Amino acid sequence: MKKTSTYLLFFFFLLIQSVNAQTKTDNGINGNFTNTPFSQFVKEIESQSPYYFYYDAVQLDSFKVTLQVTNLPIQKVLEQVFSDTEFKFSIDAQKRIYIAQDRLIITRLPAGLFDSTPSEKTDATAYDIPDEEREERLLSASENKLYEIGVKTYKLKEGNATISGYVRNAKTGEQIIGAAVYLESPQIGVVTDALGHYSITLPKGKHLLRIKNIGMRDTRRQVMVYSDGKLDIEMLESVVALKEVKVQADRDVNVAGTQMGLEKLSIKTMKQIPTAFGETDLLRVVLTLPGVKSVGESSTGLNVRGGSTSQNLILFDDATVYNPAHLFGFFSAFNPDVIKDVELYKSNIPSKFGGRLSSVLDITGRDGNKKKFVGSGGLGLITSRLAVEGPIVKDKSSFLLGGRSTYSNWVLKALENPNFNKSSASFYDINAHISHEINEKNSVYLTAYLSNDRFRLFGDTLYTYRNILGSLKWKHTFNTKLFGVFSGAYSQYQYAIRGEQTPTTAFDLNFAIYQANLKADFTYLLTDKHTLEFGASTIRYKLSPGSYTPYGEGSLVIPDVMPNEQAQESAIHIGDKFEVSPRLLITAGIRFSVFNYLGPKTVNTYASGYPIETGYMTGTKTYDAGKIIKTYGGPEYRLSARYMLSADMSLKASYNTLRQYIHLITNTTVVSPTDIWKLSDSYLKPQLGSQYSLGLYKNLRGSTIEVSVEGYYKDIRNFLDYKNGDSLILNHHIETAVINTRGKAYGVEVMVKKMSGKLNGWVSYTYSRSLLRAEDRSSSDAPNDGNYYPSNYDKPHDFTLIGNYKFSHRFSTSLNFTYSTGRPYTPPIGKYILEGTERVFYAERNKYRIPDYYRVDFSMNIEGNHKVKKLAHSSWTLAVYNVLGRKNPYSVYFITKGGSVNGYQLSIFGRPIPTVTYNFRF
Amino acid sequence: MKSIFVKVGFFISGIVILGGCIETFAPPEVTSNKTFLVVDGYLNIGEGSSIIRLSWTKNLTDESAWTYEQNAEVVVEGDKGSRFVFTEGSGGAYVLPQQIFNESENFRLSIKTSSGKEYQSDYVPYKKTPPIDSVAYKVAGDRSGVQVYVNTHDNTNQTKFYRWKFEETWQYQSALISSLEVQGEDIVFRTDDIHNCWKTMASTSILIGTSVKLSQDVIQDFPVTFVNASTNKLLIKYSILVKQFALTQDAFDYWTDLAKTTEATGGLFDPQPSLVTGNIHSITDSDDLVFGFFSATSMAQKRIFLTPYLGFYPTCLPVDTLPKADAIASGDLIMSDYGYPDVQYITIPPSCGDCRLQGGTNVKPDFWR
Repeated sequence: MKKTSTYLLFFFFLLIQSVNAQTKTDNGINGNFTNTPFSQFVKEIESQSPYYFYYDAVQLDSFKVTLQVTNLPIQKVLEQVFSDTEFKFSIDAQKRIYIAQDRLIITRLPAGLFDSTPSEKTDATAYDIPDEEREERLLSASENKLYEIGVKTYKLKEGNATISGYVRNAKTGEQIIGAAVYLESPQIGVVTDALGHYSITLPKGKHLLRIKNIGMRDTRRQVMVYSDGKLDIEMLESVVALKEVKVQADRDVNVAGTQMGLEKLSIKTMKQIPTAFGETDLLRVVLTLPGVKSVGESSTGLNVRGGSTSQNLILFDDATVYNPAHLFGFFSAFNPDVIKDVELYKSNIPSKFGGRLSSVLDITGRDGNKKKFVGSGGLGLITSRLAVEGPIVKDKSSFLLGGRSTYSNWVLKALENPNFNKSSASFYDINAHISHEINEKNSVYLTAYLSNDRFRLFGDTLYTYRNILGSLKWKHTFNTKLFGVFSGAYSQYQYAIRGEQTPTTAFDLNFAIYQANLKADFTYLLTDKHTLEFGASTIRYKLSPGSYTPYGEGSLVIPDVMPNEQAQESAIHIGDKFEVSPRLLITAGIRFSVFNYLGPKTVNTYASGYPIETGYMTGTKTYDAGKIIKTYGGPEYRLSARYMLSADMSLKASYNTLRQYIHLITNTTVVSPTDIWKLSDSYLKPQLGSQYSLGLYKNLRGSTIEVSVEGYYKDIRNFLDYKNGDSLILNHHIETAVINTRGKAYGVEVMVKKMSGKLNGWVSYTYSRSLLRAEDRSSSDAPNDGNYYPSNYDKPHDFTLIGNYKFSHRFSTSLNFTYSTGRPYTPPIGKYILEGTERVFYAERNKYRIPDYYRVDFSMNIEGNHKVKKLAHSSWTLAVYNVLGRKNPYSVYFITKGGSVNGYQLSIFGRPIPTVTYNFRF
Repeated sequence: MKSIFVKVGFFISGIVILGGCIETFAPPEVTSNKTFLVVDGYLNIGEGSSIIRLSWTKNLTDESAWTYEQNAEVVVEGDKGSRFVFTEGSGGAYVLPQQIFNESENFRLSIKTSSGKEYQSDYVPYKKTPPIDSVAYKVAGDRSGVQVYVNTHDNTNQTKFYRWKFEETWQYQSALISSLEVQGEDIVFRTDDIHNCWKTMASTSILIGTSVKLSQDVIQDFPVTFVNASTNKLLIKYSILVKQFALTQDAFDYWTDLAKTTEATGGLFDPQPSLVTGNIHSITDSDDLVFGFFSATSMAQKRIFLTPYLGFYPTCLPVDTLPKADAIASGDLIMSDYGYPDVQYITIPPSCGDCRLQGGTNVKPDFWR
């Protein structure tokens, strides 16, 4: 950078110098030079032609010219003179010749040098600069330019001013979220919001503003701040990103941010983790993070810090996703080509989020390219995908369309498991995204998503399910201190099961949930020490809890339709980020949520003083449409603090309370597409959660190694568990089938990360427990006599190693190792005879564990060469999933055959699975 | 740089043989030799003796005969000092002849096995069962079967929780009548009746009901069982004996749980199983399990007979008409002789002529009328 600037200065100087008139004619050059000093040669050329030389005499003082030419154009002459030398020349329109060592002189100013938003690319006359180098140059120009912010005054006034604007990707025009914009002295820093907008308040005067972001090259801007103003910043992507793992944003965020338990993954990181089917899988990568578990390897249900799979708020561009998986959970329902990044909040959940107890998984889609049309895609044996994007109005608006589909049917046929190969399965998903910048103060984003699954089990039961999402977001900047985001979203999830075993019992079973949200969030920069975030949101739910209807002419099924449910959940929140001192930063927030369960609905009533059981049901009560049946509500507190113990070490603590008004009704251990959702009602109370966490963060070796230790304790109230052996589907008195349980979860997560260097990756170890017991311990329905028992996802020890080693720019390898304790299960352990009838008995709930799980994956990446001018860039990935071929049990089940009960274990990926992937782009 | 940037991820793998497999899974705990005591019976505070049968659980895969506990000490103690010692009968049964009990006393069961393990139940109240008012039935409109109901009530509003068991007995006939039988080398008139049989089956499902949601302790038309006409139980004569027991709320909850856990049918929406034990605990080892529920109650019963004549007469075709020697050699039953003077015998398969082969007995039950 420095060198470039020196050249540019030199060039400016020359511009001013060369004012002589050009009178001589531009004929060919004639001459005979033998070991002529360069200065002599120059004089000769200048005398017979209109050209004028600019060069550094010192550099060329020992350069001798030996040449014989007759009537040769100057261009050819110089080519001969400088061939095989370290000198480069260029000629401009004014017939000036510039000679420099190693480096070409650009003979035309880059466009936009004097423009605040340098973005236009122009061709230089003498030298075709490769794209990236050109962009680099433009930005280095931006880096060296002094930007004057606000109304210029001769005398600087005392006080502070605010600069705001967007940080964008120079290549695609996409806003960059979470980029750090900061001054080193005084220490002031902000992070760009969800729309890539930042706003920083700093003392008036001259400053060097630094900008950093994950996957982007660090940049800086020289600013002269006179008063409040606007500055948009463009950043370049890191060029050499053959094999890097980036989990968290800039290096110091780990230590310096207040946020704890936040994991951020960019799509680049996700693409590096080997998967069984060779396709990047968002949820499976999230599962490698400490504190995140799942009950089985083909299940994408996330259990975050001892929470259930239903306690995660999964947002895709602000719309709630109810089923994030395709095909029994083998694939996540997100197309890797349209995702930008994923943030997982697992301990300190910002006050703007609410409605789920355990975590928020915030998935952000990519904006389309605002500068040019591009496409990307993949063809595989199981899935193929395609995405196209491009500007609608250049630099203003763009679109992105993505689709993915499978031809997995033949894979199922190939499976040795007869349960699978008698089956068929297909799925697809479609994404559409439009972003439009109306003007500097307003931009809008529109996202639509559809996923559809259809599979047939055992040849006679057809399952279909689909997610439909849509969201519209409007971002408005009121002034440099206040901006707001207004969004509306709609989500729909439905499934259907059709049974066709026999015509008389053929049925259709349907379930659906519809949700519409409206949300307004504001950020207000009160002072440089206080940043306020506040807003309001409301969600309208409508549920069809199930309908069971005959299918076909001959069906004798009696229709059973559960009445719809509806409710309204609203919340307001406010939070303040307060920098008490450079060492201490506090974020305090409060969220107040209210839930109304609404009519029309007929509610069952029960004899008071007795347990809520069908045997004690007394009758029903009917409520009219819109009538409030039951209201719940209360405050939720979100507190967190960071204290810098030293420049590279910090201590963070947080306390969070959360409420969840929607429950997943399931008694199967894995996430099943037949799981139904249920709203809190007269009998089902909202779930309450609180979490305390404490963490110590330390960066070693100049921030190349991050070490963190986080501990947490979680208390969960009113989590639903199910009474022994009650059916949950089409249960008209579901309240009799559930028991409120109290959960506790605690654990310690230790992580060591090395983000750069030839050897990089992370090692994490988690010790955690997740236990449940009935709220009413004396109830006869309380499992395990009212004592704590392990939850289905209680896996105390968990170890993950992700290691990448880069042998060269073109060859790198990756090794993953994961180990976890086997999950608990309840086997039948014996039989007995009572009153002449034989009965089996089961172990205490979750008393036993299936065998431990471990797996090793290995992959190699071989890149093609890196020539700039090349038709296609290609890379090979050779990977082996489950190198050791361990038969990790996925499920364990018992079947009664010929009067005896036998146990079986099913492993899905029971042998090493090699995959070869060839990627190319052009 | 090209204006269109295309990235095609081309997975050549093809080698996606996923290696899914099913193997037998026998975790040590499932095949362990640990067995637990099963207590089957109650303290009969009404008429008749009390029988408590002690047996042991088996492994799931164990197909050997049930093991009964012998030489145990079985005692019922009242919380006001009464004490009743059971004497051992056959097959793990411990019997206490009819006694007079104090109605205000609570009772508990104490067991000491031959190996010295001691068990004790919680105290249970004296809970007398009210009589059955009636056992009613109704023939389905389409004559597909008969629904049997039970009616009862308790004027003192004390009972509220009920459990029923039943025994059904029906008379049936073989399709054909074998009037002759082979005796040695001769064919003579048959003396025993193998045409008419009676079969008895006990209920296996758990039937419980409660009146707590009602202002009066009345059970009206509780469905006991539906007898399907296709079973042919209703063709000649059918009888059902309904037995009624009063329950405490704890006992009601126990039977509810047991029904849910052990009677669920396998299917798409399999409920999650769990361990259901009763109110009996081990004193010597708190980890030891005991199955069964001890209660102090009486039994009320009522029998009805019905003759709805639903179902179809069984049909069978004679096999052959044979000379005497061949008829004897055939091993089939002989329906009758045929022709004169050259006597031949009409033979029928045993299953057509001997009703006992269908599982019943040709001895008329004492209660049959």
